[in-house]
Amino acid sequence: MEKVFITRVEKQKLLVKIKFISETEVEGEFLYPFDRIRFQYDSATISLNTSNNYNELKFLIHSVFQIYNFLIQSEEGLVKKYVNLNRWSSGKDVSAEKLPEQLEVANKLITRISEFTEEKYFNKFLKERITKSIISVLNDKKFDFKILNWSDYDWIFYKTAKDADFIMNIDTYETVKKTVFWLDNLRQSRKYSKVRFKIMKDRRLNSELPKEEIDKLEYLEYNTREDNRLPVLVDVHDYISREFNLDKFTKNWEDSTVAIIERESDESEELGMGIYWVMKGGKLKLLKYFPNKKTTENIY
Amino acid sequence: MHIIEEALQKKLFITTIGKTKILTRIDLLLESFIQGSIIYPLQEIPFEYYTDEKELNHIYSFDNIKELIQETYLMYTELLNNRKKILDDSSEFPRGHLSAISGMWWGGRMSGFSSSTVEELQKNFNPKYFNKRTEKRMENDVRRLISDLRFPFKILKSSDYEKAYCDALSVSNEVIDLDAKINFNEKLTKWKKYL
Repeated sequence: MEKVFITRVEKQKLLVKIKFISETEVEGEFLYPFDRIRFQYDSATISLNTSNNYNELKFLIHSVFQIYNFLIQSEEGLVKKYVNLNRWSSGKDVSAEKLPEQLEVANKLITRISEFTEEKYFNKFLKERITKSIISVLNDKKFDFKILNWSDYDWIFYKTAKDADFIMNIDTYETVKKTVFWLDNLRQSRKYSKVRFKIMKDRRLNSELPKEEIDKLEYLEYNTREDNRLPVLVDVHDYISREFNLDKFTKNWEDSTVAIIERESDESEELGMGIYWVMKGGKLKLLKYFPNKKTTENIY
Repeated sequence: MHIIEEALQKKLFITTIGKTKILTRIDLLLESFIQGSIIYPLQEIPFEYYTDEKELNHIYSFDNIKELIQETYLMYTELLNNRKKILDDSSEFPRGHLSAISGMWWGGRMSGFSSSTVEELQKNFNPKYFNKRTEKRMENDVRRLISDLRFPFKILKSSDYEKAYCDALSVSNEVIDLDAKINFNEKLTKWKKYL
């Protein structure tokens, strides 16, 4: 079972995947800001996979981050101070020969880290992992993990959110629910309410829309927008009996968009829909027309 | 209502101003028209933009969209920064719910106040993005602020970012990084080939 947790250390966001091996044992993997950093932890007594104890996971994640953060800060010093360990390295592999000296350097750093990290989090697994990273720096002058850019966060999160079933902000204890994805699901899950404002199809309109209707329209427009973000929908046909001045109506909507649905009658299927921009003076400009494919298919 | 759904090509655009990430849900993107809402860090800030100068819905035109989103964000940030001043200047107006009669009495004066407030603010922004629609909405926002002391949109915390992102993902077909001009869906498709 896997869960993804988001937490912050000051302004730094951390994204970590936790695999629950048993009640007390977890395997972790940093997704951000590091790539290819894993850790293991066995709490021995504390059941980790319950929200009551997520704080324990948070301390663990923060500790691993602090350890690697310290290591990164030490990188330059490591390379400068211990570069002599590699001075013969060009062209031949001396890493094995130099391994005892490199391990000594790693041990020094590990001792330093132990001074500010709780022992239970800085366990054997992590010490071995850190040693590997230190040796990698000494040999290649670069870490065996990747430090991601600030701008990579969105892409990493996107990738994670697409696959994960459970994402939680462990600082606020709020679940960032991964809900349904893509339009097919959207079609089933969303309810469209629309502004039922109607214009005659032939637009031969000769009387003014009453002011209260315009006020109502504005109100409805905002309601609709807040609810489900549709452009204002105008049903072309089923309001034949009421006549009003189209210019007045559209003028009120200057610099906005309307979607006009065309139907033969109230009960008929939609023939198509036009998206119009209401220009200055209330004139409508067709931006795009969507024919009802089903209807078109039936015709042909 | 499948015809409407076909028209709504939901996209999520990401861009950055300084260290602030801006998430924008795009409801409609046509050649000469875009409609959407900023959903983070200010929630539900709608905008619309029409241009006949160039095609908007191509990746090479995304700079234009980026500018539009950033300007819209800045307009509202400016409005938020002016909140205290607006409230001080409008202290003569009644707060809370008004009866129909007193609503009519104050309505005109409040309209005048909100329109001059927005007019002042407008001077700092590009008129092509600060269009009539934006102006009207902002006037409504100011009127709402005056009467019930709050704006009709939410200011989100940084811990809300992922939730806003996930909510938008659930209704999006595409996620696009406007700064890097990367379509995440394409990136994901390519990446999955290596799995």
